[in-house]
Amino acid sequence: MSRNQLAISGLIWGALVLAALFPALFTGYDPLQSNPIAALKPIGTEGHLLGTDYLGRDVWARLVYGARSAIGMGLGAMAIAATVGVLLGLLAGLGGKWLDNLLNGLFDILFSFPDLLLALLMITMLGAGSLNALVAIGIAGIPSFARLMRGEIRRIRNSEFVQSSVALGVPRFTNIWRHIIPNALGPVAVLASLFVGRAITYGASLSFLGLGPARPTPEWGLMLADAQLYLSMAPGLALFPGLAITLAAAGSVLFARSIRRTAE
Amino acid sequence: MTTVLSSALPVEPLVRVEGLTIELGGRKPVRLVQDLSFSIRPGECLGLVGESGSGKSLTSRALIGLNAPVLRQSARRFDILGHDFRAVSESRWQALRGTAIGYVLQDALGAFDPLRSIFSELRETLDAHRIGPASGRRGKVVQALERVGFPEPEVRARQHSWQLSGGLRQRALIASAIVASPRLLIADEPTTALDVNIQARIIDLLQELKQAGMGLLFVSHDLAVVSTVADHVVVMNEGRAVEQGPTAQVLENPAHDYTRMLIAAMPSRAPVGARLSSVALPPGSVFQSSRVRSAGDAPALSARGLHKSYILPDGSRVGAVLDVSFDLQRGEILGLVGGSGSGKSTIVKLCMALVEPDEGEIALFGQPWTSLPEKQRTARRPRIQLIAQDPLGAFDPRFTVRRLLAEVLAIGGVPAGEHDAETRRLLAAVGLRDELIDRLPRNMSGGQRQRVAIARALATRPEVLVCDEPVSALDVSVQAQILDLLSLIHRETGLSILFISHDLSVVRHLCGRVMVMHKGEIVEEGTAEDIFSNVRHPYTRELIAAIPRMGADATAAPAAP
Repeated sequence: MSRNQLAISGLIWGALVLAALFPALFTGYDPLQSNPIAALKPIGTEGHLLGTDYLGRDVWARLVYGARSAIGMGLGAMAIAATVGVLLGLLAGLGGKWLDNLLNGLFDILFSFPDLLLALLMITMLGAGSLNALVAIGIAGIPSFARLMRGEIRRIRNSEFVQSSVALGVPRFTNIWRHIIPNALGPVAVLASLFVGRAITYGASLSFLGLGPARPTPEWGLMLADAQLYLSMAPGLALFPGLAITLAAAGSVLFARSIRRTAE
Repeated sequence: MTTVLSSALPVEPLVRVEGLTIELGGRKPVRLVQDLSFSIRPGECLGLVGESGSGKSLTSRALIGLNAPVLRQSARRFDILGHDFRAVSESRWQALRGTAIGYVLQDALGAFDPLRSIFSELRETLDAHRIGPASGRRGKVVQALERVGFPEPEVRARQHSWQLSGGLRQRALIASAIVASPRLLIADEPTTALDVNIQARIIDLLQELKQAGMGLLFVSHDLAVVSTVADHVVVMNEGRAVEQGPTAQVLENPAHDYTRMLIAAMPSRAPVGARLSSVALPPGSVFQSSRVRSAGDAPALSARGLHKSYILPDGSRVGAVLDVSFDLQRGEILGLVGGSGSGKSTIVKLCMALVEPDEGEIALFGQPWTSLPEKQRTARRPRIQLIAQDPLGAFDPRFTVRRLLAEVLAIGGVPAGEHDAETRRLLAAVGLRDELIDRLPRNMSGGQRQRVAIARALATRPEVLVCDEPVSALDVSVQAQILDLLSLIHRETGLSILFISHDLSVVRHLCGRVMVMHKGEIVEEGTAEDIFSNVRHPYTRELIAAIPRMGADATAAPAAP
């Protein structure tokens, strides 16, 4: 079961990464090349298997080139959220009571906003744009990582094997570095791979709202936004980017599920 | 036995099993239980004895249809309450469970839903099977609780399982199994996690239920415990019944080597200090470099006026240790006995300086220990080592045996180049083969893990060993091997050992001097023989009386030598 999940998620992510690195392998079209004569071709048109959009751009090519920004968004936001979150969680978990209370209060406040709302809040401060969206989503993810890390550190710090290495005479710093942190990182890895999928959906949501990259960047959320006007004539314009987002998110969830057992 | 029922009719067995075989399927099927036959009549108790992996729990679970579907089960005869239960549907099992057969698990804390009160847990069985009018169910629950000796059932049943002590929880669990008045009760290690005196009360309770006409299947690894209740015993080893028959006959005249080994491994039967197991011990020479050579004559550990209390969530304080003083002399094994909640574990933590005492202090070889700041203490920690009850929890789950030992050797200043040779020497010293060196603790047996824990403790070349219930989680035969190993290590190295246990027979076997702890105080202290032959404190008397004795030698065992 979990081996199947790993295989499927590997397949999805392998294809996405390949598309992000070498999009020309998958398509001969330029995703920005508009061709008004060939606008809104239906699915299955010769040369444009998934059809074309309102400017005559090839939908498949735009999907392939969109993988880069989706993956960049997912991994980038995850890197920000995980790094800062883990460090803050470490401080809260290992620091004194005072620091723990302070940080915990902060996490509580941040936690009371839904992630996406928090990201929206950040982007209103930072301004629209694809890098800003990435940073905003990353920041919005910090409290979940910090919370998890803090809890794990607390749990492991009081566990019997850490107590027993204290009793063996292992110095405090070695204990933290060798026993506490590595054991806490397992669950963090699971959250990180879940978060990649979440960040991709959030990123698409922000650009759907016009807060992400500017047109004509090939981006799945933007493609969805543009497809709204043509929903009745060309439903494929909305369907395919939507499927791509779902697939990327599903790949990350499946990966998280398959590593969960080993990580914990 | 059959007084309640008409003696003219032959009593129909509640359970009749012939040729029960349980296999784990797959390409190469593994036989977990093989050709097992037994029957249980009303008012009769069958004891199923065996070590872990013997198939005893699988057998008991088969009787309520709880085994996982991947296990293939077959039998020539499998009658429960006169009906054939081979290949019946889940709904038939469900109708049987709780009403006709009650099941008591070992872990009473895990068996209850932490969010619900004892009362609603018990009532659920009655509601689920629609037993009696809804209005009368409350009374039935109270009755069941009264029957198991649960104090003030009307009031205390409103508590949750985690608010009860281990003994009360186990009573509540038995009450939940008998609330619908089943005719057969299956008890799988019902006393294993309990103190001896609570165990004795639970056994009395099982005895009463048996006398009231209930059929009983008592599953345990402990032959002595089973023999106090069971009329017949089945001794299982690796899925087969190696011996079965009336209890007294099996105990007095064991026909099979395995049964003899089980009986010999019990510390309460062996002469004090004698070998308990026939498994070969490592040669004394491997302990050469572990010998204790410290100068001076101060006691190894010296505790004076220790006090420790904890603050409960509601703000009240509870005293765990109240004014305890003792000396652990160099080279002696000092036993510390007490029930759960007596403060033993707090004494362990204080000795290891894992918690600070509120008052008083402990000195290590005449030098300050608990009063030192942690920075200075870390350097001295190698001198005193702990062997915990659960070795699995005491190891970093990601570390192999090699890394576990290397870490400790590095602290002890052994150069990295010698780690491998030293690790092999230590493994040999605790009777482990070299192949285990790259194994993770979770892939080893309980006995192997405990040996690794001992090897790791020895790696720091300690002078004091604190053993916190080191054998209570182990099978009897493995327990015997570990006890033999500890006494060999003690003899060869001259270590001082503080040995904590709830099992008086183990302590009596190993220790020269014994302290009895009760409610945070040391109520009695003296040589082991003295304590057994000349009991002063009522609590000690209770503890001694509670040691389960094998039917036949009830008079011979712990009386004066």
